[in-house]
Amino acid sequence: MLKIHLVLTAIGRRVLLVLSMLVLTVALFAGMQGRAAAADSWSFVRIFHASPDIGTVDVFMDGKKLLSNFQYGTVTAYTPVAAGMHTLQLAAIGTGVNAAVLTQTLALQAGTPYTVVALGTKATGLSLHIFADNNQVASNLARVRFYDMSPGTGVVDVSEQGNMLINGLAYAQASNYVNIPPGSYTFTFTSSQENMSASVSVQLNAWTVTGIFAINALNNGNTDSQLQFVQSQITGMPGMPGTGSDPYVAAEQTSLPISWPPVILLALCSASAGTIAFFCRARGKRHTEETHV
Amino acid sequence: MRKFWSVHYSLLLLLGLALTFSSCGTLSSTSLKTAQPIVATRQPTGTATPTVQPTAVTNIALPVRLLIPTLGVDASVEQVGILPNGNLATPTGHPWDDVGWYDLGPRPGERGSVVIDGHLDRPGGYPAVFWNLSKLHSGDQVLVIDNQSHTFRYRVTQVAFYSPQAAPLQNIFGNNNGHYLNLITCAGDWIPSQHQTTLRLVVYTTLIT
Repeated sequence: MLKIHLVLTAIGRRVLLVLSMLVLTVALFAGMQGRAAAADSWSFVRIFHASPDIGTVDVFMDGKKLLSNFQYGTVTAYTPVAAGMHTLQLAAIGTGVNAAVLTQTLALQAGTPYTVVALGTKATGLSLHIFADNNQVASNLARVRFYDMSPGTGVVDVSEQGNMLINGLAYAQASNYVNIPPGSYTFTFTSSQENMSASVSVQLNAWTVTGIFAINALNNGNTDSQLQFVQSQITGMPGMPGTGSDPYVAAEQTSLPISWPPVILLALCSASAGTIAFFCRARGKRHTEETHV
Repeated sequence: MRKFWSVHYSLLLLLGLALTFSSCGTLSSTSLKTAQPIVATRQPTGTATPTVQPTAVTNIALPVRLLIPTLGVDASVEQVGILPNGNLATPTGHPWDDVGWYDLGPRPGERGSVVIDGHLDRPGGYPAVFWNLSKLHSGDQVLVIDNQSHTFRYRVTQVAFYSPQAAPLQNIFGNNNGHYLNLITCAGDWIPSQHQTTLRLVVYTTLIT
């Protein structure tokens, strides 16, 4: 009885071992599939520090430090982040994630670039705003987008040489993209509410996408406070190429795919047959002439 | 009668010789094409206007050949930019046989997303250089050789199909999280009214060595 029990136990262990290996293999395979599927599952986040009151900060994503010594008025490059839900936190430099002064949950879509802006003052309230970006180029033009991140500006208009480009851009909002021929421009932000006007000069190149951020807190009656600008320019993404051809048109003769080996073989056979036949005929002719003589 | 046969045989001989030499001539020109010297200048792309000004570039490693052993692809690499309509340009030198490297992006071996496109088919539906690209699988290798004889070996990680309007452009062109090479060609059905196919095929690869 004991022997039977031991045998069954041994069989059970083997079965368990095999099952464990199977589970492990499936898990590994699933993991590999997950990694393989991840090539197009990134989203892209750049972070802009537009809050003058929180000073230099560390940035944390899902509790892990993403950036150190992140200073007011700076913008990062687009950083790939796995699509999905994430928690972004900013804490004064060196204080750790538990001392975060700003916390925001981000729902990131695969393939989408985002600009996340740390915004506001202690008086107006601190916040993190997220903007979905579109970095696709527009023909041979440059693209530009304006961000009003300056507390106290109210609603602003953006013009260029007197031509209105953006009308009524509210605080904490980004404008639509403006497609514009490449060149040097001076854009003017005007706030009739605050009786304020400030300009920024930029060089816009073809196929670039430029973000112009207006920052700094404007205080009523404080003539020292001025609007400041930060620019961020990247090369835009081209659209997908046209790599197909019309299957219904007649093929170009010169571009027909020809299999040359059979043609060469035919040519050689033809030449050989011609040569042999020629000599045979000549020989027969000579033989006939000799016989005739 | 004898004269007739002599003329006949002579014509047969001449025909054979002509076919032979014409065939050999074509093969020679093909061989010359594959062995052509490396041109380290930017080529104008597009159909209406040049999209990239020619620039003399020396001592800069530029890709010259693309090899996909499992598909038997061995193609010359042209440089392509952006068309006036904003789309990625395609090879113009030998449009059906060459592939195009997007020269506003990183070079092979560099960090970021290197992008190479190539035609699926020729007018009339005959195969072009990336006819079999959809047959690639994860793990297959893609090699790029530059004009300084460096070989960059990439491994396929994903094969994906997108409509051209919904393709994740930032993923394809702007992922700097690693060293990538992304191959693009057409797929799906031809839409005569749009003069394009319904889909685009993207083969994502990552650098091995």
